[in-house]
Amino acid sequence: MNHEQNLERFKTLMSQVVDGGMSASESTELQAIVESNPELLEHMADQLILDSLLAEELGTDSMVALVDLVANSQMEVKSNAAMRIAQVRSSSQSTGWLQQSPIRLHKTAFWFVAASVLAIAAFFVGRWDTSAYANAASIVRAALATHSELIERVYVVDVQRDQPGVPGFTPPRDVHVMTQGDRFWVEMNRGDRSWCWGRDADGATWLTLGPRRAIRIDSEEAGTPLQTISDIYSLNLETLLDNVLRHGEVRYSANAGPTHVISVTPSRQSLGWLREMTIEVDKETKTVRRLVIQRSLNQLGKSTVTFTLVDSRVPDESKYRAEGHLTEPFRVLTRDSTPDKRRELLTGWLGSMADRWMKTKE
Amino acid sequence: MSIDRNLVVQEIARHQSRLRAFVRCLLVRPSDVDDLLQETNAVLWQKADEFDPGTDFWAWASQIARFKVLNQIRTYGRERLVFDLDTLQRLAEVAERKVQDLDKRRDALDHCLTKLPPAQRQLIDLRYTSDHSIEKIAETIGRPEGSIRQTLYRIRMALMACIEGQLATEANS
Repeated sequence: MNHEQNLERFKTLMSQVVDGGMSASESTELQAIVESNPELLEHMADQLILDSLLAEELGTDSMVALVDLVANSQMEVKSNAAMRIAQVRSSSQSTGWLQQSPIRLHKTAFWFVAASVLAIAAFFVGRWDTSAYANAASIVRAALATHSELIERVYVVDVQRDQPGVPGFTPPRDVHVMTQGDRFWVEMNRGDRSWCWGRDADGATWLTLGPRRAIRIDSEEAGTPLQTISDIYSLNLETLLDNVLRHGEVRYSANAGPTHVISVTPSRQSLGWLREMTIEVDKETKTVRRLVIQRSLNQLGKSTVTFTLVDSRVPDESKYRAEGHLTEPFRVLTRDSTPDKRRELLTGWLGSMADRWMKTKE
Repeated sequence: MSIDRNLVVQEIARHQSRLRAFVRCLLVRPSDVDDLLQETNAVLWQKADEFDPGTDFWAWASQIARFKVLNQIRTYGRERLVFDLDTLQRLAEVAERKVQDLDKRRDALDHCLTKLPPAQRQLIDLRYTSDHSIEKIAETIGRPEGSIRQTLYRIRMALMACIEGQLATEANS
Protein backbone atom coordinates (compact mmCIF):
# COMPACT_ATOMS: atom_id res chain seq x y z
CA MET A 1 0.00 0.00 0.00
CA ASN A 2 1.20 3.49 -0.72
CA HIS A 3 1.06 6.31 1.79
CA GLU A 4 -2.38 7.52 0.74
CA GLN A 5 -3.80 4.05 0.98
CA ASN A 6 -2.20 3.61 4.36
CA LEU A 7 -3.86 6.79 5.57
CA GLU A 8 -7.26 5.71 4.34
CA ARG A 9 -6.88 2.34 5.98
CA PHE A 10 -5.66 4.00 9.16
CA LYS A 11 -8.88 6.02 9.36
CA THR A 12 -10.99 2.91 9.07
CA LEU A 13 -8.99 1.04 11.65
CA MET A 14 -8.97 3.99 14.05
CA SER A 15 -12.72 4.11 13.82
CA GLN A 16 -12.72 0.52 15.01
CA VAL A 17 -10.31 1.25 17.83
CA VAL A 18 -12.53 4.06 19.07
CA ASP A 19 -15.97 2.61 18.38
CA GLY A 20 -15.21 -1.07 18.81
CA GLY A 21 -15.11 -4.01 16.49
CA MET A 22 -11.41 -4.47 15.86
CA SER A 23 -10.21 -7.98 15.16
CA ALA A 24 -6.79 -9.40 16.00
CA SER A 25 -5.72 -9.33 12.37
CA GLU A 26 -6.77 -5.70 12.08
CA SER A 27 -4.72 -4.88 15.17
CA THR A 28 -1.71 -6.40 13.46
CA GLU A 29 -2.47 -4.39 10.37
CA LEU A 30 -2.73 -1.16 12.35
CA GLN A 31 0.54 -1.92 14.09
CA ALA A 32 2.25 -2.31 10.73
CA ILE A 33 0.79 0.96 9.42
CA VAL A 34 1.90 2.88 12.49
CA GLU A 35 5.37 1.38 12.36
CA SER A 36 5.81 2.61 8.83
CA ASN A 37 4.15 5.95 9.61
CA PRO A 38 5.19 6.86 13.17
CA GLU A 39 3.65 10.32 12.87
CA LEU A 40 0.26 8.63 13.01
CA LEU A 41 0.78 7.97 16.72
CA GLU A 42 0.11 11.67 17.30
CA HIS A 43 -3.14 11.43 15.41
CA MET A 44 -4.08 8.28 17.23
CA ALA A 45 -3.51 9.87 20.63
CA ASP A 46 -5.60 12.89 19.59
CA GLN A 47 -8.52 10.69 18.69
CA LEU A 48 -8.38 8.57 21.80
CA ILE A 49 -8.07 11.60 24.05
CA LEU A 50 -11.10 13.12 22.35
CA ASP A 51 -12.96 9.86 22.83
CA SER A 52 -12.13 9.92 26.52
CA LEU A 53 -13.28 13.52 26.85
CA LEU A 54 -16.54 12.85 25.02
CA ALA A 55 -17.20 9.90 27.26
CA GLU A 56 -16.64 12.03 30.32
CA GLU A 57 -18.56 15.05 29.13
CA LEU A 58 -21.56 13.33 27.62
CA GLY A 59 -21.76 10.10 29.52
CA THR A 60 -24.59 10.12 31.98
CA ASP A 61 -23.98 8.69 35.38
CA SER A 62 -25.34 5.44 36.56
CA MET A 63 -27.77 7.10 38.90
CA VAL A 64 -29.66 8.30 35.87
CA ALA A 65 -31.66 5.11 35.81
CA LEU A 66 -32.63 5.26 39.42
CA VAL A 67 -36.31 5.94 39.10
CA ASP A 68 -36.91 4.08 35.89
CA LEU A 69 -37.83 0.85 37.48
CA VAL A 70 -40.12 2.28 40.07
CA ALA A 71 -41.57 5.17 38.18
CA ASN A 72 -40.99 5.26 34.48
CA SER A 73 -41.65 1.86 33.05
CA GLN A 74 -45.31 2.66 32.44
CA MET A 75 -44.47 5.85 30.74
CA GLU A 76 -44.69 4.99 27.07
CA VAL A 77 -44.07 8.35 25.50
CA LYS A 78 -44.63 7.82 21.83
CA SER A 79 -45.82 11.04 20.33
CA ASN A 80 -43.48 13.62 21.73
CA ALA A 81 -39.97 13.23 20.39
CA ALA A 82 -38.37 15.30 23.11
CA MET A 83 -40.03 13.27 25.79
CA ARG A 84 -38.93 10.09 24.06
CA ILE A 85 -35.35 11.27 24.15
CA ALA A 86 -35.74 12.01 27.83
CA GLN A 87 -36.92 8.49 28.41
CA VAL A 88 -34.15 6.94 26.40
CA ARG A 89 -31.58 9.01 28.23
CA SER A 90 -33.05 8.19 31.57
CA SER A 91 -32.80 4.48 31.06
CA SER A 92 -29.54 4.33 29.26
CA GLN A 93 -26.14 4.25 30.75
CA SER A 94 -22.88 5.84 30.43
CA THR A 95 -19.29 5.24 30.01
CA GLY A 96 -18.98 5.49 33.74
CA TRP A 97 -17.05 2.88 35.60
CA LEU A 98 -20.10 0.85 36.49
CA GLN A 99 -20.84 -0.08 32.97
CA GLN A 100 -17.22 -0.50 32.14
CA SER A 101 -16.19 -2.44 35.17
CA PRO A 102 -17.53 -5.94 35.24
CA ILE A 103 -14.74 -6.69 37.64
CA ARG A 104 -15.46 -5.35 41.07
CA LEU A 105 -12.99 -3.11 42.71
CA HIS A 106 -10.68 -4.61 45.17
CA LYS A 107 -11.32 -3.54 48.70
CA THR A 108 -8.23 -1.41 48.78
CA ALA A 109 -9.15 0.53 45.72
CA PHE A 110 -12.65 0.73 47.01
CA TRP A 111 -11.68 2.45 50.23
CA PHE A 112 -9.36 4.63 48.35
CA VAL A 113 -12.07 5.80 46.01
CA ALA A 114 -14.48 6.43 48.84
CA ALA A 115 -11.90 8.45 50.70
CA SER A 116 -10.84 10.22 47.54
CA VAL A 117 -14.34 11.44 46.84
CA LEU A 118 -14.44 13.28 50.06
CA ALA A 119 -10.95 14.61 49.76
CA ILE A 120 -11.57 15.91 46.28
CA ALA A 121 -14.61 17.72 47.42
CA ALA A 122 -12.70 19.20 50.30
CA PHE A 123 -10.11 20.47 47.93
CA PHE A 124 -12.42 21.99 45.39
CA VAL A 125 -15.07 23.29 47.66
CA GLY A 126 -12.46 24.52 50.02
CA ARG A 127 -14.56 24.01 53.07
CA TRP A 128 -12.85 21.17 54.80
CA ASP A 129 -9.73 21.16 56.77
CA THR A 130 -7.72 18.01 57.37
CA SER A 131 -9.72 16.94 60.36
CA ALA A 132 -12.99 17.40 58.53
CA TYR A 133 -11.74 15.27 55.70
CA ALA A 134 -10.60 12.52 58.00
CA ASN A 135 -13.91 12.68 59.78
CA ALA A 136 -15.96 12.36 56.61
CA ALA A 137 -13.76 9.61 55.25
CA SER A 138 -14.13 7.63 58.44
CA ILE A 139 -17.89 8.00 58.25
CA VAL A 140 -17.92 6.60 54.77
CA ARG A 141 -15.68 3.74 55.78
CA ALA A 142 -17.84 2.93 58.74
CA ALA A 143 -21.00 3.14 56.68
CA LEU A 144 -19.62 0.76 54.11
CA ALA A 145 -18.37 -1.64 56.72
CA THR A 146 -21.75 -1.65 58.39
CA HIS A 147 -23.43 -2.18 55.07
CA SER A 148 -21.57 -5.42 54.52
CA GLU A 149 -22.51 -6.92 57.87
CA LEU A 150 -24.78 -9.93 57.96
CA ILE A 151 -27.75 -7.80 58.84
CA GLU A 152 -30.58 -7.15 56.48
CA ARG A 153 -31.56 -3.53 56.20
CA VAL A 154 -34.98 -2.54 54.99
CA TYR A 155 -35.53 0.69 53.12
CA VAL A 156 -38.77 2.17 51.95
CA VAL A 157 -38.65 3.94 48.61
CA ASP A 158 -40.69 7.01 47.91
CA VAL A 159 -40.89 8.76 44.56
CA GLN A 160 -42.37 12.21 44.28
CA ARG A 161 -42.87 14.26 41.16
CA ASP A 162 -43.39 17.97 40.98
CA GLN A 163 -45.76 17.38 38.08
CA PRO A 164 -48.06 14.68 39.42
CA GLY A 165 -50.42 15.04 36.49
CA VAL A 166 -47.98 13.74 33.89
CA PRO A 167 -50.00 11.28 31.76
CA GLY A 168 -49.03 7.67 32.23
CA PHE A 169 -47.22 8.19 35.50
CA THR A 170 -48.48 6.28 38.49
CA PRO A 171 -46.38 6.81 41.58
CA PRO A 172 -45.33 3.48 43.04
CA ARG A 173 -46.58 2.64 46.48
CA ASP A 174 -45.17 0.58 49.31
CA VAL A 175 -41.87 -0.21 47.66
CA HIS A 176 -39.47 -1.81 50.10
CA VAL A 177 -35.85 -2.71 49.44
CA MET A 178 -34.12 -5.36 51.51
CA THR A 179 -30.34 -5.23 51.29
CA GLN A 180 -27.48 -7.24 52.70
CA GLY A 181 -24.02 -6.58 51.31
CA ASP A 182 -24.33 -6.49 47.54
CA ARG A 183 -27.49 -8.58 47.60
CA PHE A 184 -30.95 -7.10 47.63
CA TRP A 185 -34.52 -7.88 46.82
CA VAL A 186 -37.47 -5.65 46.13
CA GLU A 187 -41.18 -6.23 45.94
CA MET A 188 -42.92 -3.99 43.43
CA ASN A 189 -46.59 -3.29 42.93
CA ARG A 190 -48.16 -1.44 40.08
CA GLY A 191 -51.83 -1.64 39.33
CA ASP A 192 -52.85 -5.27 39.37
CA ARG A 193 -49.34 -6.56 38.87
CA SER A 194 -46.81 -7.28 41.52
CA TRP A 195 -43.43 -8.82 41.17
CA CYS A 196 -40.17 -9.23 42.98
CA TRP A 197 -36.69 -8.77 41.73
CA GLY A 198 -33.28 -8.80 43.23
CA ARG A 199 -29.66 -9.81 43.03
CA ASP A 200 -28.40 -13.01 44.54
CA ALA A 201 -25.06 -13.90 46.11
CA ASP A 202 -23.64 -14.84 42.71
CA GLY A 203 -24.38 -11.40 41.30
CA ALA A 204 -27.19 -12.68 39.09
CA THR A 205 -30.33 -10.60 38.76
CA TRP A 206 -33.66 -12.35 38.97
CA LEU A 207 -37.24 -11.25 38.43
CA THR A 208 -40.42 -13.08 39.22
CA LEU A 209 -43.13 -12.87 36.58
CA GLY A 210 -46.14 -14.05 38.50
CA PRO A 211 -46.17 -16.77 41.17
CA ARG A 212 -44.83 -19.62 39.05
CA ARG A 213 -42.28 -18.15 36.71
CA ALA A 214 -39.07 -16.20 37.03
CA ILE A 215 -36.11 -15.30 34.90
CA ARG A 216 -32.51 -15.22 35.96
CA ILE A 217 -29.91 -13.06 34.26
CA ASP A 218 -26.29 -13.81 35.04
CA SER A 219 -24.09 -10.83 35.86
CA GLU A 220 -22.22 -11.04 32.58
CA GLU A 221 -25.48 -11.00 30.64
CA ALA A 222 -26.96 -7.98 32.36
CA GLY A 223 -27.24 -4.86 30.26
CA THR A 224 -26.00 -1.57 31.58
CA PRO A 225 -29.36 -0.19 32.76
CA LEU A 226 -30.06 -3.33 34.74
CA GLN A 227 -26.59 -3.36 36.26
CA THR A 228 -27.04 0.26 37.17
CA ILE A 229 -30.44 -0.11 38.73
CA SER A 230 -29.26 -3.16 40.63
CA ASP A 231 -26.23 -1.39 41.97
CA ILE A 232 -28.32 1.51 43.15
CA TYR A 233 -30.93 -0.69 44.78
CA SER A 234 -28.25 -2.50 46.71
CA LEU A 235 -27.58 0.96 48.17
CA ASN A 236 -23.96 0.40 47.45
CA LEU A 237 -22.15 3.60 48.36
CA GLU A 238 -19.19 2.57 46.28
CA THR A 239 -21.30 3.16 43.21
CA LEU A 240 -22.81 6.40 44.34
CA LEU A 241 -19.58 7.94 45.47
CA ASP A 242 -17.66 6.93 42.41
CA ASN A 243 -20.03 8.90 40.26
CA VAL A 244 -19.38 11.88 42.42
CA LEU A 245 -15.65 11.43 42.08
CA ARG A 246 -15.71 12.77 38.59
CA HIS A 247 -18.56 15.21 38.52
CA GLY A 248 -19.72 16.28 41.92
CA GLU A 249 -19.04 18.60 44.74
CA VAL A 250 -19.42 17.05 48.15
CA ARG A 251 -20.35 18.88 51.30
CA TYR A 252 -20.23 17.39 54.73
CA SER A 253 -22.44 18.81 57.42
CA ALA A 254 -21.54 18.22 61.02
CA ASN A 255 -24.89 18.74 62.68
CA ALA A 256 -26.25 18.25 66.15
CA GLY A 257 -28.77 15.63 65.08
CA PRO A 258 -28.39 11.86 65.01
CA THR A 259 -26.93 11.73 61.50
CA HIS A 260 -24.00 12.92 59.48
CA VAL A 261 -25.13 14.45 56.23
CA ILE A 262 -23.17 14.22 53.01
CA SER A 263 -24.59 16.26 50.14
CA VAL A 264 -23.50 16.03 46.55
CA THR A 265 -24.20 18.55 43.84
CA PRO A 266 -23.29 18.00 40.20
CA SER A 267 -20.67 20.40 39.04
CA ARG A 268 -21.16 20.28 35.31
CA GLN A 269 -24.01 21.19 33.02
CA SER A 270 -23.88 17.75 31.47
CA LEU A 271 -25.26 16.35 34.68
CA GLY A 272 -28.20 18.68 34.73
CA TRP A 273 -30.55 15.78 35.37
CA LEU A 274 -29.06 15.28 38.84
CA ARG A 275 -29.91 18.19 41.03
CA GLU A 276 -28.69 16.91 44.35
CA MET A 277 -27.96 13.73 46.23
CA THR A 278 -27.98 13.55 50.00
CA ILE A 279 -26.74 10.66 52.11
CA GLU A 280 -27.55 10.57 55.79
CA VAL A 281 -25.36 8.31 57.91
CA ASP A 282 -26.30 7.34 61.45
CA LYS A 283 -23.73 8.68 63.90
CA GLU A 284 -23.90 5.68 66.19
CA THR A 285 -24.51 2.70 63.96
CA LYS A 286 -22.84 4.25 60.90
CA THR A 287 -25.68 2.92 58.79
CA VAL A 288 -27.01 4.76 55.78
CA ARG A 289 -30.32 5.99 57.10
CA ARG A 290 -31.50 7.88 54.11
CA LEU A 291 -30.53 8.48 50.50
CA VAL A 292 -32.32 11.25 48.68
CA ILE A 293 -31.84 11.86 44.99
CA GLN A 294 -33.35 14.85 43.33
CA ARG A 295 -33.49 14.44 39.65
CA SER A 296 -34.44 16.57 36.69
CA LEU A 297 -36.38 14.76 33.98
CA ASN A 298 -36.21 17.34 31.22
CA GLN A 299 -39.75 18.12 30.11
CA LEU A 300 -41.20 15.71 32.60
CA GLY A 301 -40.33 17.93 35.54
CA LYS A 302 -38.44 16.96 38.64
CA SER A 303 -38.55 13.89 40.77
CA THR A 304 -37.30 13.11 44.22
CA VAL A 305 -36.49 9.54 45.16
CA THR A 306 -36.00 8.81 48.83
CA PHE A 307 -34.67 5.59 50.32
CA THR A 308 -35.37 5.57 54.05
CA LEU A 309 -34.11 2.93 56.45
CA VAL A 310 -37.06 1.52 58.35
CA ASP A 311 -35.75 -1.73 59.85
CA SER A 312 -32.65 -3.84 60.50
CA ARG A 313 -33.07 -7.54 61.05
CA VAL A 314 -31.73 -11.02 60.42
CA PRO A 315 -32.08 -11.76 56.71
CA ASP A 316 -34.37 -14.43 55.33
CA GLU A 317 -31.85 -16.10 53.02
CA SER A 318 -34.49 -17.70 50.81
CA LYS A 319 -35.86 -14.31 49.78
CA TYR A 320 -32.62 -13.34 48.06
CA ARG A 321 -33.31 -15.91 45.35
CA ALA A 322 -36.22 -16.06 42.92
CA GLU A 323 -37.24 -19.48 44.17
CA GLY A 324 -38.06 -17.98 47.54
CA HIS A 325 -40.90 -15.99 45.99
CA LEU A 326 -42.43 -18.69 43.78
CA THR A 327 -45.10 -21.29 44.36
CA GLU A 328 -44.61 -24.91 43.26
CA PRO A 329 -44.64 -25.95 40.49
CA PHE A 330 -42.55 -23.13 39.11
CA ARG A 331 -40.02 -22.57 36.38
CA VAL A 332 -36.93 -20.37 36.43
CA LEU A 333 -35.76 -19.43 32.95
CA THR A 334 -32.00 -19.20 32.73
CA ARG A 335 -29.29 -18.66 30.17
CA ASP A 336 -28.98 -22.39 29.71
CA SER A 337 -32.65 -23.22 29.37
CA THR A 338 -34.28 -20.42 27.43
CA PRO A 339 -31.85 -17.70 26.46
CA ASP A 340 -34.08 -15.72 24.08
CA LYS A 341 -37.42 -16.22 25.75
CA ARG A 342 -36.28 -14.17 28.71
CA ARG A 343 -35.89 -10.97 26.71
CA GLU A 344 -39.31 -11.48 25.17
CA LEU A 345 -40.86 -11.95 28.59
CA LEU A 346 -39.08 -8.95 30.04
CA THR A 347 -40.34 -6.55 27.41
CA GLY A 348 -43.81 -8.07 27.45
CA TRP A 349 -44.03 -7.70 31.22
CA LEU A 350 -42.25 -4.43 31.85
CA GLY A 351 -42.34 -2.61 28.52
CA SER A 352 -39.86 -1.84 25.76
CA MET A 353 -37.46 -0.20 28.20
CA ALA A 354 -36.59 -3.63 29.54
CA ASP A 355 -35.15 -4.64 26.17
CA ARG A 356 -31.85 -3.11 27.20
CA TRP A 357 -31.69 -5.02 30.42
CA MET A 358 -29.96 -7.86 28.69
CA LYS A 359 -26.93 -7.44 26.53
CA THR A 360 -27.42 -7.96 22.84
CA LYS A 361 -25.66 -10.99 21.48
CA GLU A 362 -22.33 -10.22 19.91
CA MET B 1 -3.36 10.42 57.59
CA SER B 2 -0.62 12.97 57.09
CA ILE B 3 -1.17 16.31 55.41
CA ASP B 4 1.08 15.23 52.56
CA ARG B 5 -1.09 12.25 51.89
CA ASN B 6 -4.14 14.47 51.81
CA LEU B 7 -2.40 16.63 49.28
CA VAL B 8 -1.66 13.62 47.13
CA VAL B 9 -5.25 12.45 47.29
CA GLN B 10 -6.38 15.86 46.15
CA GLU B 11 -3.89 15.90 43.33
CA ILE B 12 -4.82 12.42 42.19
CA ALA B 13 -8.43 13.50 42.09
CA ARG B 14 -7.59 16.65 40.19
CA HIS B 15 -5.75 14.61 37.58
CA GLN B 16 -8.38 11.92 37.07
CA SER B 17 -9.35 13.11 33.63
CA ARG B 18 -5.75 13.24 32.48
CA LEU B 19 -5.05 9.82 33.87
CA ARG B 20 -8.16 8.40 32.26
CA ALA B 21 -7.31 9.87 28.88
CA PHE B 22 -3.79 8.57 29.20
CA VAL B 23 -4.98 5.07 29.98
CA ARG B 24 -7.55 5.23 27.20
CA CYS B 25 -4.79 5.87 24.68
CA LEU B 26 -3.21 2.53 25.44
CA LEU B 27 -6.21 0.23 25.50
CA VAL B 28 -8.52 -1.14 22.85
CA ARG B 29 -11.47 -1.85 25.04
CA PRO B 30 -13.11 1.12 26.73
CA SER B 31 -14.35 -1.37 29.30
CA ASP B 32 -10.77 -1.93 30.46
CA VAL B 33 -10.08 1.75 31.01
CA ASP B 34 -11.79 2.35 34.31
CA ASP B 35 -10.56 -0.87 35.86
CA LEU B 36 -7.00 0.03 35.02
CA LEU B 37 -7.54 3.60 36.12
CA GLN B 38 -8.66 2.38 39.53
CA GLU B 39 -5.60 0.20 39.83
CA THR B 40 -3.40 3.10 38.84
CA ASN B 41 -5.05 5.27 41.46
CA ALA B 42 -4.35 2.62 44.06
CA VAL B 43 -0.66 2.54 43.15
CA LEU B 44 -0.40 6.33 43.28
CA TRP B 45 -2.01 6.20 46.68
CA GLN B 46 0.41 3.56 47.89
CA LYS B 47 3.32 5.68 46.74
CA ALA B 48 1.93 8.93 48.13
CA ASP B 49 4.80 9.28 50.58
CA GLU B 50 7.23 9.47 47.69
CA PHE B 51 5.69 12.62 46.25
CA ASP B 52 7.62 15.79 47.01
CA PRO B 53 5.18 18.69 47.52
CA GLY B 54 6.12 21.65 45.43
CA THR B 55 7.23 19.53 42.51
CA ASP B 56 5.20 18.82 39.39
CA PHE B 57 2.55 16.30 40.36
CA TRP B 58 1.74 15.28 36.82
CA ALA B 59 5.38 14.57 36.06
CA TRP B 60 5.51 12.30 39.10
CA ALA B 61 2.12 10.68 38.61
CA SER B 62 2.40 10.10 34.89
CA GLN B 63 5.65 8.19 35.31
CA ILE B 64 4.09 5.91 37.87
CA ALA B 65 0.94 5.61 35.83
CA ARG B 66 2.87 4.75 32.71
CA PHE B 67 4.84 2.07 34.50
CA LYS B 68 1.72 0.65 36.09
CA VAL B 69 -0.31 0.68 32.91
CA LEU B 70 2.36 -0.87 30.75
CA ASN B 71 3.16 -3.43 33.38
CA GLN B 72 -0.47 -4.32 33.81
CA ILE B 73 -1.25 -4.66 30.15
CA ARG B 74 1.57 -7.14 29.76
CA THR B 75 -0.83 -9.51 31.46
CA TYR B 76 -3.59 -8.86 28.94
CA GLY B 77 -4.25 -11.15 26.04
CA ARG B 78 -3.43 -10.03 22.53
CA GLU B 79 -7.10 -9.45 21.78
CA ARG B 80 -7.17 -6.64 24.34
CA LEU B 81 -4.27 -4.73 22.84
CA VAL B 82 -3.64 -3.01 19.56
CA PHE B 83 0.11 -2.65 19.68
CA ASP B 84 3.15 -4.42 20.91
CA LEU B 85 4.87 -3.02 23.99
CA ASP B 86 7.48 -1.02 22.11
CA THR B 87 4.84 0.84 20.17
CA LEU B 88 2.78 1.26 23.32
CA GLN B 89 5.81 2.88 24.98
CA ARG B 90 6.01 5.41 22.19
CA LEU B 91 2.28 5.99 22.25
CA ALA B 92 2.46 6.50 26.00
CA GLU B 93 5.07 9.22 25.53
CA VAL B 94 2.87 10.99 23.01
CA ALA B 95 -0.24 10.63 25.18
CA GLU B 96 1.55 11.83 28.30
CA ARG B 97 2.52 15.03 26.54
CA LYS B 98 -0.83 15.62 24.89
CA VAL B 99 -2.99 15.26 27.97
CA GLN B 100 -1.17 18.09 29.71
CA ASP B 101 -3.58 20.67 28.27
CA LEU B 102 -6.62 18.47 28.75
CA ASP B 103 -8.57 21.03 30.75
CA LYS B 104 -8.30 23.55 27.96
CA ARG B 105 -9.32 20.90 25.48
CA ARG B 106 -12.34 20.05 27.57
CA ASP B 107 -13.50 23.65 27.67
CA ALA B 108 -12.98 23.93 23.93
CA LEU B 109 -14.90 20.70 23.40
CA ASP B 110 -17.85 22.03 25.39
CA HIS B 111 -17.96 25.01 23.06
CA CYS B 112 -17.48 22.92 19.91
CA LEU B 113 -20.27 20.53 20.82
CA THR B 114 -22.73 23.40 20.78
CA LYS B 115 -21.73 24.12 17.18
CA LEU B 116 -22.56 20.68 15.85
CA PRO B 117 -25.54 20.43 13.52
CA PRO B 118 -28.49 18.67 15.22
CA ALA B 119 -28.14 15.44 13.23
CA GLN B 120 -24.48 15.13 14.14
CA ARG B 121 -25.17 15.97 17.74
CA GLN B 122 -27.83 13.28 17.83
CA LEU B 123 -25.36 10.73 16.57
CA ILE B 124 -22.78 11.75 19.14
CA ASP B 125 -25.43 11.57 21.86
CA LEU B 126 -26.46 8.09 20.78
CA ARG B 127 -22.86 7.00 20.88
CA TYR B 128 -21.78 8.62 24.15
CA THR B 129 -24.83 9.65 26.15
CA SER B 130 -26.96 6.62 25.36
CA ASP B 131 -23.82 4.49 25.08
CA HIS B 132 -25.14 2.58 22.10
CA SER B 133 -22.93 0.29 20.10
CA ILE B 134 -22.46 1.00 16.41
CA GLU B 135 -24.80 -1.88 15.66
CA LYS B 136 -27.48 -0.43 17.89
CA ILE B 137 -27.13 3.05 16.41
CA ALA B 138 -27.37 1.63 12.91
CA GLU B 139 -30.51 -0.23 13.87
CA THR B 140 -32.00 2.81 15.62
CA ILE B 141 -31.61 5.26 12.79
CA GLY B 142 -31.76 2.79 9.92
CA ARG B 143 -28.39 3.31 8.34
CA PRO B 144 -25.61 0.84 7.56
CA GLU B 145 -22.98 0.30 10.24
CA GLY B 146 -20.18 1.35 7.92
CA SER B 147 -21.90 4.63 7.26
CA ILE B 148 -22.34 5.26 10.99
CA ARG B 149 -18.66 4.57 11.61
CA GLN B 150 -17.59 6.93 8.85
CA THR B 151 -19.90 9.67 9.99
CA LEU B 152 -18.76 9.41 13.59
CA TYR B 153 -15.17 9.53 12.44
CA ARG B 154 -15.86 12.68 10.44
CA ILE B 155 -17.69 14.30 13.34
CA ARG B 156 -14.78 13.63 15.65
CA MET B 157 -12.39 15.04 13.06
CA ALA B 158 -14.54 18.16 12.90
CA LEU B 159 -14.54 18.40 16.68
CA MET B 160 -10.77 18.02 16.77
CA ALA B 161 -10.37 20.79 14.20
CA CYS B 162 -12.75 23.00 16.16
CA ILE B 163 -10.85 22.33 19.39
CA GLU B 164 -7.53 23.19 17.77
CA GLY B 165 -9.07 26.39 16.40
CA GLN B 166 -10.38 27.31 19.82
CA LEU B 167 -7.04 26.69 21.44
CA ALA B 168 -5.26 28.73 18.80
CA THR B 169 -7.69 31.61 19.21
CA GLU B 170 -7.23 31.50 22.96
CA ALA B 171 -3.45 31.48 22.60
CA ASN B 172 -3.53 34.53 20.33
CA SER B 173 -5.90 36.56 22.47
